[in-house]
Amino acid sequence: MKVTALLPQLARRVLQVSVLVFVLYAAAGGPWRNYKMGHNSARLVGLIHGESWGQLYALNEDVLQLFGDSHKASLGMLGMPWAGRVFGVNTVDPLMAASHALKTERFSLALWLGALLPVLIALLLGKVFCSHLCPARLAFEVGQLVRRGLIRLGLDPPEWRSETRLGGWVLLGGLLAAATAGTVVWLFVLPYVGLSAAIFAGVTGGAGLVLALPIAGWLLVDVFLAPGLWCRNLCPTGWWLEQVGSWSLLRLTKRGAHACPTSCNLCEQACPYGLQPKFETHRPACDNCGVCVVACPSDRLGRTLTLSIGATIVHANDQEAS
Amino acid sequence: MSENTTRRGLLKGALGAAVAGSMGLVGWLAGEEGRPSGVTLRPPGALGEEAFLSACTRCFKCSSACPNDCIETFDLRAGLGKAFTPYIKARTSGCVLCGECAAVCPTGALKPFVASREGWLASVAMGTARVNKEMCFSYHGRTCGACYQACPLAGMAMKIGVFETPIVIAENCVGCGLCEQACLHLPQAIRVVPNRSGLPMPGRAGEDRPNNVVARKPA
Repeated sequence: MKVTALLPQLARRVLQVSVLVFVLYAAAGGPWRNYKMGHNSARLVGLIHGESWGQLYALNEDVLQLFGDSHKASLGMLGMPWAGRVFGVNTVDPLMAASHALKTERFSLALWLGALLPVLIALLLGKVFCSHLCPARLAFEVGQLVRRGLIRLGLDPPEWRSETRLGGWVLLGGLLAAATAGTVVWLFVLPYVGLSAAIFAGVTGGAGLVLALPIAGWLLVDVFLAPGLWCRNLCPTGWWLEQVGSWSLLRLTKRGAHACPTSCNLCEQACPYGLQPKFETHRPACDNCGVCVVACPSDRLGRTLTLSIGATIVHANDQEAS
Repeated sequence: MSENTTRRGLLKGALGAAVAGSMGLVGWLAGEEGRPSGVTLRPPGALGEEAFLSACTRCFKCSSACPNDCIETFDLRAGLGKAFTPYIKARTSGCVLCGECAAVCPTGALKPFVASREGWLASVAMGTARVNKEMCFSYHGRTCGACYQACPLAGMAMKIGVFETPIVIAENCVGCGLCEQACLHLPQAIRVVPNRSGLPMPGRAGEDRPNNVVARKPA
């Protein structure tokens, strides 16, 4: 079938999960360094903390030694998605950098350099952070699976959709709040920030599980009342990514000369935000997740929805086949 | 534009402004509420308490990077202002002053320093140790000296008298808390009083450091 369309979906899942793996690994790095400092021996770690911990310790040691000094190398994976160090590269959520500047009334060059990467990605690839990296979006997608299961079981949860998009206002409110209360407000406002902090707290034994409450609340809303409400209507990160991403190179485009049949709305049903690529009204809210590309029965209709970068390749294949 | 869409736009704007306004208000109230009360022993190189709370992005990098598991983080019980910021509990694990936390801090809430006697004296001012002579074993003829043995600046930040009685030289003490951790008396007879300003006391050892220039100016 459409392997070319399914492969990007697989890659997307891998990326989404790898963000969670990063958070887990970065959190586990703390205890690992403590063991390294305290024991510096897999056998000792195994004896004191348990055999499996000793094996994990040794595994991590072996992997890190490929990059030179293992303790130094382990510091290359550090922190949280909003201010982290990934393979030694510092990344900062521009929202955090802006809040920091507002609160301290100071410009931190290092912080803004770290914030450059997300902005560049948004400029080139649009809202791919939302669809390919955001841990909250992954949670929401799991929530959608649950919702579909409920519908299959015969329940009929309401499906509220609203065109009122308040992301920019939430961004403004959050920045106002951060100007007095500090960057800590985003831990409660942004579900992806709260979720990763809660995971970190869970791994390191800290008492931050309360941070998982906002995302739990939004998940309930998403599953039972209004699918996509947070991401589409309220998320401030999604909002600014959309503004920056409106010039992006990567975009979902409809190809094919003739119109879709009026009866078909599979792409709209597949879209987590209920957008309509069929009428090409999906931009700029579309975040290039590509779910509709898979959903479109193109091989029957001879028409497909594809991301424009891959379009040339896929298009060439199509023409060969026909 | 039809009247309907104008009204809709106005409604949306009003709703948005309400959302932004209420968020700002909640943040403002929480910010006022969360004004730092009391003092906290922060990781080495920390700015003054107010500046530190402003600069810290709660990314947990410092606590994660600490090789000795010294740095803990507050939870919400400490109030929104302090929540998820790092602190050091000297009596369970004093700071070994390795400087890893300050090196990874992305915002400069912890200023990096060189992990040497000179580096500590130049830029670390977490607090000052205070001896309670009523409790201290050495001051009661039971020679102990555990705190002196633990002090990374022994001889500079702490001197010993007869029966190894600890004498803290306050202006040279960086407040790492290793003495408090080492103290054999329970409750601890030597404790670190956290420093709120983040600046060393005037008159610290070492002649040519900018920190000292101000202090040494004639009044």
